[in-house]
Amino acid sequence: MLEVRNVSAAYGTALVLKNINIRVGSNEIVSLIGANGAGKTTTLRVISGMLKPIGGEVMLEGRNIAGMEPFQIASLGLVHVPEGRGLFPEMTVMENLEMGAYLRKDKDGIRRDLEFVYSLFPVLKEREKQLAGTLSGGEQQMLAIAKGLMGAPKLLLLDEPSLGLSPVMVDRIFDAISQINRERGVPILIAEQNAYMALSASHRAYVIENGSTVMEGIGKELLGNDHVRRAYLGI
Amino acid sequence: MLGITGDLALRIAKYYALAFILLLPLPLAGDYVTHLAIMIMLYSITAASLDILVGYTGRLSLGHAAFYAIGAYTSTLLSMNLGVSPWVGILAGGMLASLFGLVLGIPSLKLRGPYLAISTLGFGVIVQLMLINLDWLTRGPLGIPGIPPLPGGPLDLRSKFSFYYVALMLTSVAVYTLHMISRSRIGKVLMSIREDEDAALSVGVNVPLFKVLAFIISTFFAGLSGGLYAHYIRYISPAMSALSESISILSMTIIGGFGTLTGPLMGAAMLTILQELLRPYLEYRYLIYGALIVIVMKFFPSGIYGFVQFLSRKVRG
Repeated sequence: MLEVRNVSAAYGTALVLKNINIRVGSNEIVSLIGANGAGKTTTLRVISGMLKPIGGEVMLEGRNIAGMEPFQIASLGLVHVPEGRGLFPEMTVMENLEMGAYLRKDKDGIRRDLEFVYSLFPVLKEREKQLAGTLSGGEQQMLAIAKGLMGAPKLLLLDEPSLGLSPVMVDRIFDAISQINRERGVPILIAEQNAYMALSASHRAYVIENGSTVMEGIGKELLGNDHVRRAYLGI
Repeated sequence: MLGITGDLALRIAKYYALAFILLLPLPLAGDYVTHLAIMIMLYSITAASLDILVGYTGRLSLGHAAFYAIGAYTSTLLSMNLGVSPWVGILAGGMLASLFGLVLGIPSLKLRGPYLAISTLGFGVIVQLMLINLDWLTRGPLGIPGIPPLPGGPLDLRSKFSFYYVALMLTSVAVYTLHMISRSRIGKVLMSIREDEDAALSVGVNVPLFKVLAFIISTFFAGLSGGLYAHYIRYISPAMSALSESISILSMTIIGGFGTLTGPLMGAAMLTILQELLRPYLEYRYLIYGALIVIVMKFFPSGIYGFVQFLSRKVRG
Protein backbone atom coordinates (compact mmCIF):
# COMPACT_ATOMS: atom_id res chain seq x y z
CA MET A 1 0.00 0.00 0.00
CA LEU A 2 2.54 2.55 1.20
CA GLU A 3 6.28 2.31 1.00
CA VAL A 4 8.56 5.06 2.24
CA ARG A 5 12.11 4.56 1.00
CA ASN A 6 15.17 6.39 2.37
CA VAL A 7 13.29 9.62 2.85
CA SER A 8 15.09 12.66 4.15
CA ALA A 9 13.59 16.07 4.89
CA ALA A 10 14.66 19.38 6.33
CA TYR A 11 13.16 22.48 7.87
CA GLY A 12 15.30 25.20 6.32
CA THR A 13 18.84 23.99 6.79
CA ALA A 14 18.06 21.69 9.72
CA LEU A 15 17.97 18.09 8.57
CA VAL A 16 15.19 16.43 10.55
CA LEU A 17 14.66 13.16 8.68
CA LYS A 18 17.71 11.24 7.53
CA ASN A 19 16.81 7.75 6.63
CA ILE A 20 13.18 6.84 6.98
CA ASN A 21 11.98 3.46 5.71
CA ILE A 22 8.41 2.41 6.34
CA ARG A 23 6.03 -0.04 4.77
CA VAL A 24 2.31 -0.29 5.40
CA GLY A 25 0.55 -3.29 3.92
CA SER A 26 -3.11 -3.30 3.00
CA ASN A 27 -5.25 -4.03 6.05
CA GLU A 28 -2.48 -3.27 8.53
CA ILE A 29 -2.25 -0.98 11.53
CA VAL A 30 1.32 0.27 11.75
CA SER A 31 2.63 2.67 14.35
CA LEU A 32 5.62 4.95 14.59
CA ILE A 33 6.89 5.39 18.09
CA GLY A 34 9.64 7.62 19.33
CA ALA A 35 10.46 10.51 21.60
CA ASN A 36 9.27 14.07 21.20
CA GLY A 37 11.13 15.60 18.25
CA ALA A 38 12.29 12.27 16.83
CA GLY A 39 10.56 12.99 13.53
CA LYS A 40 7.23 11.15 13.73
CA THR A 41 5.07 14.12 12.82
CA THR A 42 7.49 15.23 10.12
CA THR A 43 7.36 11.75 8.58
CA LEU A 44 3.57 11.94 8.33
CA ARG A 45 3.79 15.46 6.91
CA VAL A 46 6.15 14.27 4.21
CA ILE A 47 3.87 11.36 3.31
CA SER A 48 0.82 13.61 2.93
CA GLY A 49 2.75 16.26 1.02
CA MET A 50 2.61 19.04 3.62
CA LEU A 51 6.41 19.02 3.56
CA LYS A 52 8.42 18.23 0.45
CA PRO A 53 11.18 15.66 1.06
CA ILE A 54 14.72 16.47 -0.12
CA GLY A 55 15.43 12.86 -0.96
CA GLY A 56 13.89 9.40 -1.16
CA GLU A 57 10.62 8.07 -2.46
CA VAL A 58 7.09 7.84 -1.11
CA MET A 59 5.29 5.10 -3.03
CA LEU A 60 1.51 4.94 -2.70
CA GLU A 61 0.09 1.92 -4.50
CA GLY A 62 3.21 1.74 -6.61
CA ARG A 63 3.22 5.42 -7.55
CA ASN A 64 5.80 7.92 -6.32
CA ILE A 65 3.89 10.76 -4.65
CA ALA A 66 6.91 12.57 -3.18
CA GLY A 67 6.75 16.24 -4.17
CA MET A 68 3.06 16.26 -5.10
CA GLU A 69 0.73 18.93 -3.68
CA PRO A 70 -1.19 17.91 -0.52
CA PHE A 71 -4.61 18.24 -2.18
CA GLN A 72 -3.49 16.00 -5.04
CA ILE A 73 -2.27 13.37 -2.60
CA ALA A 74 -5.58 13.62 -0.73
CA SER A 75 -7.39 12.95 -4.00
CA LEU A 76 -5.51 9.64 -4.26
CA GLY A 77 -7.23 8.52 -1.06
CA LEU A 78 -4.58 9.32 1.50
CA VAL A 79 -6.17 11.05 4.48
CA HIS A 80 -4.03 12.73 7.12
CA VAL A 81 -5.53 13.59 10.51
CA PRO A 82 -2.87 16.02 11.74
CA GLU A 83 -1.63 16.71 15.23
CA GLY A 84 -3.98 19.30 16.71
CA ARG A 85 -6.71 17.42 14.86
CA GLY A 86 -7.20 19.65 11.82
CA LEU A 87 -10.79 20.54 12.55
CA PHE A 88 -12.65 23.63 11.41
CA PRO A 89 -13.57 25.00 14.87
CA GLU A 90 -16.09 27.65 13.79
CA MET A 91 -18.00 25.19 11.62
CA THR A 92 -20.53 22.66 12.89
CA VAL A 93 -19.85 18.97 13.45
CA MET A 94 -21.94 18.19 10.39
CA GLU A 95 -20.10 20.74 8.23
CA ASN A 96 -16.78 19.26 9.34
CA LEU A 97 -17.97 15.80 8.28
CA GLU A 98 -19.21 17.20 4.96
CA MET A 99 -15.82 18.81 4.36
CA GLY A 100 -14.22 15.45 5.11
CA ALA A 101 -16.13 14.05 2.15
CA TYR A 102 -15.15 17.06 0.02
CA LEU A 103 -13.69 15.11 -2.89
CA ARG A 104 -16.43 12.50 -3.11
CA LYS A 105 -19.33 12.44 -5.51
CA ASP A 106 -21.00 9.15 -4.45
CA LYS A 107 -23.95 10.38 -2.38
CA ASP A 108 -24.97 6.87 -1.26
CA GLY A 109 -21.46 6.05 -0.14
CA ILE A 110 -21.25 9.30 1.81
CA ARG A 111 -24.54 8.53 3.55
CA ARG A 112 -23.39 5.02 4.44
CA ASP A 113 -20.11 6.34 5.83
CA LEU A 114 -21.98 8.95 7.84
CA GLU A 115 -24.04 6.17 9.40
CA PHE A 116 -20.86 4.22 10.09
CA VAL A 117 -19.09 7.11 11.87
CA TYR A 118 -22.25 7.84 13.87
CA SER A 119 -22.41 4.21 14.96
CA LEU A 120 -18.71 4.40 15.86
CA PHE A 121 -19.09 7.68 17.78
CA PRO A 122 -22.79 8.16 18.69
CA VAL A 123 -21.96 11.37 20.58
CA LEU A 124 -21.19 13.09 17.27
CA LYS A 125 -24.76 12.59 16.11
CA GLU A 126 -26.02 14.27 19.29
CA ARG A 127 -23.65 17.17 18.67
CA GLU A 128 -24.35 17.40 14.92
CA LYS A 129 -25.28 21.10 14.93
CA GLN A 130 -22.72 22.20 17.53
CA LEU A 131 -19.57 24.11 16.53
CA ALA A 132 -16.57 21.79 16.46
CA GLY A 133 -14.58 24.18 18.66
CA THR A 134 -17.05 23.74 21.51
CA LEU A 135 -16.55 19.96 21.77
CA SER A 136 -14.45 18.36 24.51
CA GLY A 137 -10.96 17.16 23.64
CA GLY A 138 -12.06 13.54 23.30
CA GLU A 139 -15.05 14.45 21.16
CA GLN A 140 -12.81 16.58 18.95
CA GLN A 141 -10.49 13.63 18.42
CA MET A 142 -13.50 11.48 17.55
CA LEU A 143 -14.64 14.11 15.09
CA ALA A 144 -11.15 14.33 13.60
CA ILE A 145 -11.09 10.58 12.96
CA ALA A 146 -14.69 10.61 11.73
CA LYS A 147 -13.90 13.49 9.36
CA GLY A 148 -10.94 11.48 8.07
CA LEU A 149 -13.17 8.45 7.49
CA MET A 150 -15.66 10.54 5.54
CA GLY A 151 -12.95 10.91 2.90
CA ALA A 152 -13.22 7.14 2.21
CA PRO A 153 -9.50 6.74 2.86
CA LYS A 154 -7.43 4.06 1.20
CA LEU A 155 -4.84 4.86 3.85
CA LEU A 156 -5.40 6.81 7.07
CA LEU A 157 -2.60 8.69 8.83
CA LEU A 158 -3.25 9.58 12.47
CA ASP A 159 -0.91 11.94 14.30
CA GLU A 160 -0.92 11.57 18.10
CA PRO A 161 -4.54 10.47 18.49
CA SER A 162 -4.05 10.12 22.26
CA LEU A 163 -2.66 13.62 22.80
CA GLY A 164 -4.24 15.42 25.75
CA LEU A 165 -6.88 12.76 26.38
CA SER A 166 -7.82 10.98 29.59
CA PRO A 167 -6.80 7.28 29.84
CA VAL A 168 -10.44 6.20 29.45
CA MET A 169 -10.79 8.28 26.31
CA VAL A 170 -7.48 6.98 24.94
CA ASP A 171 -8.84 3.44 25.29
CA ARG A 172 -12.01 4.36 23.45
CA ILE A 173 -10.12 6.05 20.62
CA PHE A 174 -7.81 3.05 20.14
CA ASP A 175 -10.81 0.68 20.26
CA ALA A 176 -12.36 2.73 17.49
CA ILE A 177 -9.12 2.64 15.48
CA SER A 178 -9.06 -1.16 15.70
CA GLN A 179 -12.73 -1.34 14.76
CA ILE A 180 -12.19 0.89 11.70
CA ASN A 181 -9.37 -1.35 10.56
CA ARG A 182 -11.33 -4.55 11.21
CA GLU A 183 -14.67 -3.54 9.75
CA ARG A 184 -13.55 -1.28 6.94
CA GLY A 185 -10.23 -2.87 6.12
CA VAL A 186 -8.58 0.56 6.12
CA PRO A 187 -4.81 0.47 6.61
CA ILE A 188 -3.76 2.94 9.30
CA LEU A 189 -0.42 4.56 10.09
CA ILE A 190 -0.26 6.07 13.58
CA ALA A 191 2.42 8.35 15.00
CA GLU A 192 2.15 8.06 18.74
CA GLN A 193 4.10 8.97 21.85
CA ASN A 194 2.02 6.65 23.98
CA ALA A 195 4.13 3.66 22.98
CA TYR A 196 2.25 1.16 25.07
CA MET A 197 -1.13 1.91 23.50
CA ALA A 198 0.33 2.15 20.02
CA LEU A 199 2.22 -1.13 20.23
CA SER A 200 -0.74 -2.97 21.74
CA ALA A 201 -3.07 -1.81 19.00
CA SER A 202 -0.77 -2.25 15.98
CA HIS A 203 0.18 -5.18 13.87
CA ARG A 204 3.66 -3.80 13.25
CA ALA A 205 5.64 -0.81 14.45
CA TYR A 206 8.74 1.24 13.74
CA VAL A 207 10.92 3.01 16.25
CA ILE A 208 12.15 6.43 15.10
CA GLU A 209 15.19 8.00 16.75
CA ASN A 210 16.86 11.22 15.59
CA GLY A 211 15.09 11.21 12.26
CA SER A 212 15.80 7.61 11.27
CA THR A 213 13.87 4.39 11.55
CA VAL A 214 16.10 2.31 13.82
CA MET A 215 13.95 -0.70 14.59
CA GLU A 216 11.03 -2.56 13.11
CA GLY A 217 8.91 -5.37 14.43
CA ILE A 218 5.59 -6.92 15.32
CA GLY A 219 3.78 -4.62 17.76
CA LYS A 220 3.45 -7.18 20.54
CA GLU A 221 7.08 -8.30 20.14
CA LEU A 222 8.44 -4.77 20.43
CA LEU A 223 6.54 -4.49 23.69
CA GLY A 224 8.91 -7.18 25.01
CA ASN A 225 12.07 -5.70 23.49
CA ASP A 226 14.57 -4.50 26.10
CA HIS A 227 15.56 -1.29 24.33
CA VAL A 228 11.93 -0.31 23.67
CA ARG A 229 10.95 -1.15 27.24
CA ARG A 230 13.71 0.99 28.71
CA ALA A 231 13.45 3.94 26.32
CA TYR A 232 9.72 4.22 25.68
CA LEU A 233 7.80 2.24 28.23
CA GLY A 234 9.76 3.32 31.28
CA ILE A 235 10.05 -0.23 32.59
CA MET B 1 -24.26 21.67 -7.93
CA LEU B 2 -23.62 24.49 -5.51
CA GLY B 3 -24.88 22.39 -2.64
CA ILE B 4 -27.66 24.78 -1.65
CA THR B 5 -31.06 23.24 -1.22
CA GLY B 6 -33.93 25.04 -2.94
CA ASP B 7 -35.43 25.19 0.50
CA LEU B 8 -32.61 27.32 1.92
CA ALA B 9 -32.50 29.55 -1.17
CA LEU B 10 -36.22 30.18 -0.79
CA ARG B 11 -36.03 30.85 2.94
CA ILE B 12 -33.32 33.47 2.47
CA ALA B 13 -35.16 34.92 -0.54
CA LYS B 14 -38.19 35.49 1.69
CA TYR B 15 -36.14 37.72 4.02
CA TYR B 16 -34.90 39.70 1.06
CA ALA B 17 -38.41 40.05 -0.34
CA LEU B 18 -39.66 41.25 3.04
CA ALA B 19 -36.84 43.82 3.35
CA PHE B 20 -37.50 44.90 -0.23
CA ILE B 21 -41.19 45.54 0.44
CA LEU B 22 -40.49 47.36 3.72
CA LEU B 23 -38.02 49.64 1.95
CA LEU B 24 -40.37 50.51 -0.92
CA PRO B 25 -42.01 53.60 0.68
CA LEU B 26 -38.72 55.08 1.94
CA PRO B 27 -38.30 57.81 -0.75
CA LEU B 28 -41.46 59.44 0.61
CA ALA B 29 -39.23 60.69 3.44
CA GLY B 30 -37.62 63.17 1.06
CA ASP B 31 -34.52 63.52 -1.09
CA TYR B 32 -32.01 63.70 1.75
CA VAL B 33 -33.10 60.41 3.30
CA THR B 34 -33.33 58.82 -0.14
CA HIS B 35 -29.77 59.86 -0.93
CA LEU B 36 -28.53 58.42 2.35
CA ALA B 37 -30.37 55.17 1.66
CA ILE B 38 -28.79 54.92 -1.80
CA MET B 39 -25.32 55.44 -0.33
CA ILE B 40 -26.04 52.78 2.29
CA MET B 41 -27.05 50.35 -0.44
CA LEU B 42 -23.91 51.02 -2.51
CA TYR B 43 -21.73 50.56 0.56
CA SER B 44 -23.72 47.42 1.44
CA ILE B 45 -22.67 45.74 -1.79
CA THR B 46 -19.04 46.73 -1.22
CA ALA B 47 -18.95 45.73 2.45
CA ALA B 48 -20.72 42.42 1.74
CA SER B 49 -18.30 41.70 -1.11
CA LEU B 50 -15.37 42.36 1.23
CA ASP B 51 -16.92 39.91 3.70
CA ILE B 52 -16.40 37.06 1.21
CA LEU B 53 -12.69 37.81 1.36
CA VAL B 54 -12.21 38.86 4.99
CA GLY B 55 -15.02 37.09 6.81
CA TYR B 56 -15.33 33.84 4.89
CA THR B 57 -11.83 33.25 3.57
CA GLY B 58 -9.95 35.00 6.37
CA ARG B 59 -7.90 37.13 3.96
CA LEU B 60 -7.51 40.64 5.34
CA SER B 61 -7.64 43.34 2.67
CA LEU B 62 -6.79 46.99 3.23
CA GLY B 63 -7.20 47.91 -0.41
CA HIS B 64 -10.77 47.06 -1.25
CA ALA B 65 -11.65 50.63 -2.25
CA ALA B 66 -9.22 50.28 -5.16
CA PHE B 67 -11.54 47.77 -6.81
CA TYR B 68 -14.49 50.05 -6.19
CA ALA B 69 -12.52 52.84 -7.90
CA ILE B 70 -11.48 50.58 -10.79
CA GLY B 71 -15.14 49.74 -11.40
CA ALA B 72 -16.11 53.42 -11.27
CA TYR B 73 -13.36 54.61 -13.64
CA THR B 74 -13.88 51.75 -16.09
CA SER B 75 -17.57 52.39 -16.46
CA THR B 76 -17.09 56.16 -16.60
CA LEU B 77 -14.36 56.09 -19.23
CA LEU B 78 -16.17 53.53 -21.37
CA SER B 79 -19.40 55.50 -21.36
CA MET B 80 -17.82 58.94 -21.83
CA ASN B 81 -15.09 58.09 -24.35
CA LEU B 82 -16.53 55.20 -26.28
CA GLY B 83 -20.23 55.83 -25.85
CA VAL B 84 -20.79 52.45 -24.23
CA SER B 85 -24.08 52.16 -22.37
CA PRO B 86 -23.46 52.69 -18.63
CA TRP B 87 -25.27 49.41 -17.95
CA VAL B 88 -22.66 47.56 -19.98
CA GLY B 89 -19.98 49.81 -18.51
CA ILE B 90 -20.88 48.83 -14.96
CA LEU B 91 -20.65 45.14 -15.85
CA ALA B 92 -17.31 45.75 -17.58
CA GLY B 93 -16.16 47.63 -14.47
CA GLY B 94 -16.98 44.61 -12.33
CA MET B 95 -15.11 42.36 -14.71
CA LEU B 96 -12.02 44.56 -14.90
CA ALA B 97 -12.03 44.88 -11.10
CA SER B 98 -12.06 41.09 -10.77
CA LEU B 99 -9.26 40.82 -13.35
CA PHE B 100 -7.21 43.09 -11.06
CA GLY B 101 -8.42 40.92 -8.18
CA LEU B 102 -6.89 37.95 -9.97
CA VAL B 103 -3.68 39.89 -10.58
CA LEU B 104 -3.43 40.79 -6.88
CA GLY B 105 -4.73 37.42 -5.68
CA ILE B 106 -2.11 35.22 -7.33
CA PRO B 107 1.08 36.82 -6.00
CA SER B 108 -0.41 37.19 -2.52
CA LEU B 109 -1.33 33.49 -2.23
CA LYS B 110 1.44 32.71 0.22
CA LEU B 111 1.00 35.86 2.26
CA ARG B 112 -0.85 35.75 5.53
CA GLY B 113 -2.05 38.19 8.18
CA PRO B 114 -0.16 41.48 8.30
CA TYR B 115 1.86 40.71 5.15
CA LEU B 116 -1.30 40.31 3.09
CA ALA B 117 -2.72 43.46 4.69
CA ILE B 118 0.38 45.42 3.64
CA SER B 119 0.35 44.13 0.08
CA THR B 120 -3.34 44.96 -0.40
CA LEU B 121 -2.73 48.36 1.19
CA GLY B 122 0.10 48.91 -1.29
CA PHE B 123 -2.16 47.90 -4.15
CA GLY B 124 -4.73 50.52 -3.10
CA VAL B 125 -2.05 53.20 -3.01
CA ILE B 126 -0.71 52.19 -6.43
CA VAL B 127 -4.17 52.39 -7.97
CA GLN B 128 -4.71 55.81 -6.45
CA LEU B 129 -1.33 57.04 -7.75
CA MET B 130 -2.11 55.71 -11.20
CA LEU B 131 -5.46 57.45 -11.26
CA ILE B 132 -3.68 60.67 -10.30
CA ASN B 133 -0.78 60.35 -12.73
CA LEU B 134 -2.43 58.90 -15.83
CA ASP B 135 -3.99 62.33 -16.27
CA TRP B 136 -4.41 62.04 -20.05
CA LEU B 137 -6.93 59.31 -19.28
CA THR B 138 -8.31 60.13 -15.87
CA ARG B 139 -7.85 63.94 -15.66
CA GLY B 140 -5.67 63.22 -12.63
CA PRO B 141 -6.55 64.72 -9.26
CA LEU B 142 -9.29 66.89 -10.82
CA GLY B 143 -11.47 63.83 -11.19
CA ILE B 144 -14.13 63.38 -13.85
CA PRO B 145 -17.35 65.41 -13.69
CA GLY B 146 -20.39 65.17 -15.93
CA ILE B 147 -20.67 61.41 -16.00
CA PRO B 148 -23.83 60.33 -17.84
CA PRO B 149 -26.64 59.01 -15.66
CA LEU B 150 -27.94 55.48 -16.03
CA PRO B 151 -30.33 55.28 -18.97
CA GLY B 152 -33.70 54.24 -17.58
CA GLY B 153 -36.00 54.31 -20.60
CA PRO B 154 -39.06 56.26 -19.48
CA LEU B 155 -37.55 56.81 -16.02
CA ASP B 156 -35.22 59.72 -15.41
CA LEU B 157 -32.52 58.12 -13.30
CA ARG B 158 -31.01 61.50 -12.48
CA SER B 159 -33.74 61.84 -9.90
CA LYS B 160 -32.97 60.30 -6.54
CA PHE B 161 -36.51 58.98 -6.40
CA SER B 162 -36.19 56.74 -9.46
CA PHE B 163 -32.54 55.86 -8.88
CA TYR B 164 -33.50 54.63 -5.44
CA TYR B 165 -35.66 51.85 -6.91
CA VAL B 166 -33.02 50.81 -9.42
CA ALA B 167 -30.44 50.70 -6.61
CA LEU B 168 -32.82 48.78 -4.37
CA MET B 169 -33.39 46.17 -7.03
CA LEU B 170 -29.72 45.81 -7.99
CA THR B 171 -28.55 45.77 -4.37
CA SER B 172 -31.07 43.07 -3.50
CA VAL B 173 -29.92 40.92 -6.40
CA ALA B 174 -26.20 41.51 -5.76
CA VAL B 175 -26.35 40.95 -2.01
CA TYR B 176 -28.65 37.95 -2.40
CA THR B 177 -26.17 36.44 -4.86
CA LEU B 178 -23.34 37.01 -2.37
CA HIS B 179 -25.50 35.51 0.35
CA MET B 180 -26.13 32.40 -1.75
CA ILE B 181 -22.42 32.09 -2.51
CA SER B 182 -21.63 32.33 1.20
CA ARG B 183 -24.08 29.54 2.00
CA SER B 184 -23.09 27.36 -0.93
CA ARG B 185 -20.43 24.69 -1.13
CA ILE B 186 -18.01 27.40 -2.26
CA GLY B 187 -18.76 29.35 0.92
CA LYS B 188 -18.11 26.27 3.08
CA VAL B 189 -14.82 25.66 1.30
CA LEU B 190 -13.75 29.30 1.79
CA MET B 191 -14.63 29.00 5.51
CA SER B 192 -12.55 25.85 5.80
CA ILE B 193 -9.56 27.79 4.42
CA ARG B 194 -10.17 30.52 6.99
CA GLU B 195 -10.38 27.95 9.79
CA ASP B 196 -7.30 25.91 8.96
CA GLU B 197 -5.49 25.97 5.65
CA ASP B 198 -3.60 22.74 6.27
CA ALA B 199 -6.77 20.92 7.25
CA ALA B 200 -8.49 22.20 4.11
CA LEU B 201 -5.57 20.92 2.03
CA SER B 202 -5.72 17.57 3.75
CA VAL B 203 -9.34 16.96 2.77
CA GLY B 204 -8.35 17.73 -0.81
CA VAL B 205 -9.31 21.40 -1.21
CA ASN B 206 -7.33 23.16 -3.92
CA VAL B 207 -6.56 26.00 -1.51
CA PRO B 208 -4.68 28.30 -3.94
CA LEU B 209 -7.51 28.09 -6.48
CA PHE B 210 -10.19 28.97 -3.95
CA LYS B 211 -8.16 31.80 -2.43
CA VAL B 212 -7.91 33.38 -5.87
CA LEU B 213 -11.60 32.66 -6.51
CA ALA B 214 -12.46 34.55 -3.31
CA PHE B 215 -10.53 37.55 -4.65
CA ILE B 216 -12.30 37.33 -8.01
CA ILE B 217 -15.82 37.11 -6.54
CA SER B 218 -15.19 39.78 -3.96
CA THR B 219 -13.61 42.30 -6.31
CA PHE B 220 -16.24 41.75 -9.01
CA PHE B 221 -19.01 42.98 -6.73
CA ALA B 222 -16.86 45.86 -5.43
CA GLY B 223 -16.33 46.92 -9.05
CA LEU B 224 -20.06 46.76 -9.76
CA SER B 225 -20.92 48.99 -6.85
CA GLY B 226 -18.17 51.44 -7.89
CA GLY B 227 -19.75 51.70 -11.34
CA LEU B 228 -23.19 52.30 -9.86
CA TYR B 229 -21.72 55.00 -7.65
CA ALA B 230 -20.10 56.75 -10.62
CA HIS B 231 -23.37 56.97 -12.57
CA TYR B 232 -25.27 58.06 -9.49
CA ILE B 233 -23.00 60.79 -8.10
CA ARG B 234 -21.78 61.52 -11.65
CA TYR B 235 -18.41 62.71 -10.42
CA ILE B 236 -15.43 60.54 -9.50
CA SER B 237 -11.90 61.24 -8.31
CA PRO B 238 -8.78 59.30 -7.29
CA ALA B 239 -9.80 59.79 -3.65
CA MET B 240 -12.14 56.83 -4.18
CA SER B 241 -9.13 54.53 -3.91
CA ALA B 242 -7.74 56.22 -0.80
CA LEU B 243 -6.66 54.13 2.17
CA SER B 244 -9.26 55.91 4.27
CA GLU B 245 -12.02 54.61 1.97
CA SER B 246 -10.70 51.05 2.27
CA ILE B 247 -10.64 51.42 6.03
CA SER B 248 -14.22 52.73 6.03
CA ILE B 249 -15.38 49.68 4.08
CA LEU B 250 -13.40 47.32 6.29
CA SER B 251 -14.86 49.01 9.38
CA MET B 252 -18.37 48.41 8.05
CA THR B 253 -17.60 44.74 7.52
CA ILE B 254 -15.97 44.26 10.91
CA ILE B 255 -18.31 46.40 13.03
CA GLY B 256 -21.33 44.85 11.32
CA GLY B 257 -20.01 41.36 11.96
CA PHE B 258 -17.73 39.65 9.48
CA GLY B 259 -18.40 36.16 8.25
CA THR B 260 -22.15 36.68 8.51
CA LEU B 261 -22.87 38.61 5.31
CA THR B 262 -25.91 40.20 6.97
CA GLY B 263 -23.63 41.99 9.42
CA PRO B 264 -21.80 44.11 6.83
CA LEU B 265 -25.17 45.42 5.61
CA MET B 266 -25.89 46.59 9.14
CA GLY B 267 -22.37 48.00 9.36
CA ALA B 268 -22.83 49.91 6.11
CA ALA B 269 -26.07 51.43 7.39
CA MET B 270 -24.67 52.28 10.80
CA LEU B 271 -21.42 53.87 9.64
CA THR B 272 -23.03 55.81 6.80
CA ILE B 273 -25.56 57.30 9.20
CA LEU B 274 -22.88 57.89 11.81
CA GLN B 275 -20.78 59.71 9.25
CA GLU B 276 -23.72 62.02 8.55
CA LEU B 277 -24.27 62.72 12.23
CA LEU B 278 -20.56 63.39 12.70
CA ARG B 279 -20.33 65.76 9.75
CA PRO B 280 -19.33 68.75 11.96
CA TYR B 281 -16.49 66.65 13.43
CA LEU B 282 -15.45 64.87 10.26
CA GLU B 283 -11.74 64.91 11.10
CA TYR B 284 -12.39 62.73 14.13
CA ARG B 285 -14.22 60.10 12.08
CA TYR B 286 -11.44 57.49 12.02
CA LEU B 287 -10.76 58.01 15.70
CA ILE B 288 -14.36 57.03 16.34
CA TYR B 289 -14.26 54.10 13.89
CA GLY B 290 -11.11 52.83 15.59
CA ALA B 291 -12.68 53.06 19.02
CA LEU B 292 -15.82 51.34 17.74
CA ILE B 293 -13.83 48.49 16.24
CA VAL B 294 -11.98 47.96 19.51
CA ILE B 295 -15.21 48.01 21.52
CA VAL B 296 -17.03 45.70 19.12
CA MET B 297 -14.12 43.24 18.93
CA LYS B 298 -13.80 43.21 22.71
CA PHE B 299 -17.45 42.70 23.60
CA PHE B 300 -19.05 41.37 20.42
CA PRO B 301 -16.52 39.72 18.14
CA SER B 302 -19.38 38.85 15.82
CA GLY B 303 -20.30 42.51 15.47
CA ILE B 304 -23.67 44.25 15.48
CA TYR B 305 -25.17 41.16 13.87
CA GLY B 306 -23.94 39.02 16.74
CA PHE B 307 -25.29 41.57 19.21
CA VAL B 308 -28.72 41.52 17.54
CA GLN B 309 -28.74 37.72 17.61
CA PHE B 310 -27.76 37.79 21.28
CA LEU B 311 -30.63 40.20 22.06
CA SER B 312 -33.19 38.18 20.12
CA ARG B 313 -32.14 35.04 22.00
CA LYS B 314 -32.55 36.96 25.29
CA VAL B 315 -36.01 38.15 24.32
CA ARG B 316 -37.12 34.66 23.36
CA GLY B 317 -35.79 33.48 26.72
